[in-house]
Amino acid sequence: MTPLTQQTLMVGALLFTFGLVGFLSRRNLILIFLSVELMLAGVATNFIAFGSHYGIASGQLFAILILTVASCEAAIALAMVVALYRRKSTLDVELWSDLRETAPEKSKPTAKSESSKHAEYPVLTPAGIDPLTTKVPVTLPDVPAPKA
Amino acid sequence: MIPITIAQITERDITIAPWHIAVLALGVIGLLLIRASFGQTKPTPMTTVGGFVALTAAFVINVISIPWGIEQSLLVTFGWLAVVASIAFVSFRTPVYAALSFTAIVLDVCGIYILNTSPFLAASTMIVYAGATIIIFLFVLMFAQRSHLQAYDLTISLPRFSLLAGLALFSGLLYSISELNLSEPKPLTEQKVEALGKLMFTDYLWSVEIAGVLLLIAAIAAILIAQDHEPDRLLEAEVTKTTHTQWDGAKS
Repeated sequence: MTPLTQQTLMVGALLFTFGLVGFLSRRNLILIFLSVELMLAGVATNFIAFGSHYGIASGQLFAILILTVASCEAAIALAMVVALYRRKSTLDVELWSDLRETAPEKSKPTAKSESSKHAEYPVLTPAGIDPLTTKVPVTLPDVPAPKA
Repeated sequence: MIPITIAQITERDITIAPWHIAVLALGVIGLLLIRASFGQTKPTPMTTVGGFVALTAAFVINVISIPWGIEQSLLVTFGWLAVVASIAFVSFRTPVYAALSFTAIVLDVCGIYILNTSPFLAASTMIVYAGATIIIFLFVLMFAQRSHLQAYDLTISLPRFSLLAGLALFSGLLYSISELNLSEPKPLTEQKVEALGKLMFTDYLWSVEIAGVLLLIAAIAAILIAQDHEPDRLLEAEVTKTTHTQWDGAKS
């Protein structure tokens, strides 16, 4: 293996690693998506390294396909970020942790206080569970008692 | 203890260059230092100095352990600039700076693409990533960013887990790269862009078509998702208001 290929693979591995670390540790929605883009760039670097090593153009072609998918992902992700920002006026990802697949009683107290603050939002049924067959413990937001 | 271990490794004929260990040490120390003050994004001065020393040591070991030449020096320059920029990307607290350091990463990676005989891909990556994608990200950041740093930019979620996951992934990748046995390299016989175009419109025609359709679907989906539903809500409020006033008038 030539030093060129080896060093290029090493750079790709480092980019993927830093993308993973950024994805796991960042709390800003936009920077999480940028970390995913960084991981995709690392994978494209690997394709380039192997394609250049064997003298075939398939590596470049797959890198172009990765580029296309990354553009699609960026467009849809940013549209979703804009839509989410209109709802809560923040980019904090932890406020949307009630969209995950776990049971509602495991949700953090910040999310609960947030949902009680905005009482007009509906409480969603957790994804992945059949609502007709499974009894879902639904935590409704605190509704103030009607004054007599 | 350590010399014995290295001797055993060389006896087993595992190809681990010194700079592998150096870069692994860089990964360990750098990630530790970036996430040193757990839960906070801001590192202490001691960790900053330590990270700088670790980076410099790994850089020196990398430079002296590879054969020297114009291609090698360019490769080392671009690679280390990419590494430094990605450390900056992970550790910057201001999101705009992080996005700009991502641009720096993309430009360095494009330099590596040119060295790896892919000039067309370098140009298109520069245009698509550094030109278009980052600008859109910056637009959204400016749309959503407040003037001062928010709490979610100053704190980290899962600091220990992300550190351990990054270290485990990188040591695995490093081991597999050092164990890799590729056959002899072959140069490109045709012109580079010509070979790519031939491949794109003969063997991989379906993939290219599917990618185009995917782009179209993504554009439509992005328009639909980002639509403002606020006017509907306003209209509803208007309707309820008028009905209420009508009802009040009828009652009186």
